[in-house]
Amino acid sequence: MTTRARGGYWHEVWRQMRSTRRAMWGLWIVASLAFVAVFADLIANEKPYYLELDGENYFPIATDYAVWLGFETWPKALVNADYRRLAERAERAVWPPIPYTATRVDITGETYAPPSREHWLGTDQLGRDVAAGMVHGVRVSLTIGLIVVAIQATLGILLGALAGFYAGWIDLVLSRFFELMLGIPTFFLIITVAAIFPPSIYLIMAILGLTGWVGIARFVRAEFFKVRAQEFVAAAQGLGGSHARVMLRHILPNAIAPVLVAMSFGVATAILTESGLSFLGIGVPQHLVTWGSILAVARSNTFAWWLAVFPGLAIFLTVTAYNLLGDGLRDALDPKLDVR
Amino acid sequence: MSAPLLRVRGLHKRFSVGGGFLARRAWLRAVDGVDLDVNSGETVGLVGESGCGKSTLGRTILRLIEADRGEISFEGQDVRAAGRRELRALRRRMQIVFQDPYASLNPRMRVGDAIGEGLGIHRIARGDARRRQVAELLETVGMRPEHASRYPHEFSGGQRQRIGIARALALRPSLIVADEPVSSLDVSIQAQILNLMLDLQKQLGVAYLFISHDLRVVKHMSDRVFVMYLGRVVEEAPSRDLYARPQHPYTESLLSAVPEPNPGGRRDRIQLSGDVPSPLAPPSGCPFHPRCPRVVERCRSETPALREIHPGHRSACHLAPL
Repeated sequence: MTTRARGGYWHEVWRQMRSTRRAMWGLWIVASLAFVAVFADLIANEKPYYLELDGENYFPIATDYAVWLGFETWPKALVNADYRRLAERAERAVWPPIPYTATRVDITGETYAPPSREHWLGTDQLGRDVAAGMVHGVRVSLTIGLIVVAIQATLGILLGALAGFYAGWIDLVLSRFFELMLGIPTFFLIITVAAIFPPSIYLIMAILGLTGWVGIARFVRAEFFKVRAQEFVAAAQGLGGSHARVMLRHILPNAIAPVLVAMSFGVATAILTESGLSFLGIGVPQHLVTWGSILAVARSNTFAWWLAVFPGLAIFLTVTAYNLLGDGLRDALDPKLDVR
Repeated sequence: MSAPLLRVRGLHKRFSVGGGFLARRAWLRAVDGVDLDVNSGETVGLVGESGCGKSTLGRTILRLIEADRGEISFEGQDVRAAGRRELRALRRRMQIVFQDPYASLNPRMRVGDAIGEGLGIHRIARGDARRRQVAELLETVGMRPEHASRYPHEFSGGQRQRIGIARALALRPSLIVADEPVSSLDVSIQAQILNLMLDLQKQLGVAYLFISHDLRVVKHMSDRVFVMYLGRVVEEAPSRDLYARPQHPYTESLLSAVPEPNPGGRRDRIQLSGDVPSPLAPPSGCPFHPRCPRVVERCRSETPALREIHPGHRSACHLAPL
């Protein structure tokens, strides 16, 4: 290990990451996807950014957010407006790059339209714009990935830390519980739950989150075992530090690295699972446009290649990016793998 | 003399080794009935080969490891009976310095935070006051105040050991258990650290329980010395007495193994045969008898107790005085 790095451990990890091209690709793609997810409404929206109508200035997208937050109500001219028709008699209108909303059925347009200037990535069986669906699909996929992993990390770190720190019979009981959880077939559980409850994306997140934390818990447990035996932990106890303090300030920061790797892979897995479920039409509400649901339409209409290729590529790219990121993180966090 | 600062009586600690759900467990007797006193401001040396239980004893005193049986009293307070709050208060007054300066500092924590942690836990100082105290402590151990903002990996072993000492001193303890504090350092650095510890003792009046396998180091540091073998104290004497007139064959052999600086005055070396017996199955009678050059029949059956041979000099050997 070098002794020069002044910024400490994470500085060194970042340096290591930057020198790995694959990891940086992963990071860039993940960052771009996050950007698209956050600004999805500004990229694909059937409302214009700006509309000048009868001498009045309107900012329909901004107003949409304000109404949603409860600051404003819709101006009379825009209530239940069909913006496309409004725009025809408007003095001026500025549109987002993709002037459609994912769920909007384009009545004037045709169904199964191949990619064109009007619809960049074509339309689906209802005439919905695929490009808009893709953009909003990023949001769904990332939300699912992040929330699922957040639940998994919370449970995994908590239970893994308790098992690893207290060892003894607490570890014995928790480890058996981990094994029990591993035995639950997640996919069948989701199918069963989907048969009982109305389809809901939150339910899927909860199930994936509540069943998939065992891997993280085992990582954390093993790291806690390893770090706990080091003398600085005894030193902290000798200073009178409480169990919580010793775990949070001394052991966890030294045990978190493999968790980050597992979390990165976890996001990829969750996204893939959700796509699979949407593809099969299980558990995800019909009206929600996701990558998997677009793919599912292509299954019965093989001529509409654009319905298979674009969402397929998006899923592939996202899952690969998270896997590359996890891979790069693992290498950067492991001093023994220093290739330089 | 008034009551000792630390008083240990009949301390036992055993560890279970192996053994599973149905398999029989083996017990390792790490500390097997130890009596030990440390007075205020003095240094008590604890020597023995690795695995003899000396580190376990040190940690048991601080309750980093829980003892099975026996008494530990510190400043008149029963350490083993202390509840959570009392234990925290006790730990303000007794501290530990570890052997491995690399493992004993949290690699993710700045040096200043590590030294100041005790001040925070015991609500002694915060903010600027804490920073000032940390700076003073760094100077006390011969480092610069600006080192506080650095991470442990930026320092050498000797510097890290100074940081470890500063951390122990932060709470102004009356006893520091020094668990092989110089064993992993270069010889030239060892002397610096040992002299620092002696200076600090003069300044602050702190007592040391100095654990080491190195007899020369212990001689340099200690007022009194305890020699341990297989979890028991086999000899206890004022430092000078022990080195001049050892009263246990084990001590004799240890002393003869110390390298002499002048080859001319070399004594005959007593070569011990065999290994240290496994503490899982200690020998009957005197634990040292299988390797003892002076062994007699009685040693095999009867365990010798510690007896006073001269005033202040006790030995657990049937044959003493030697």
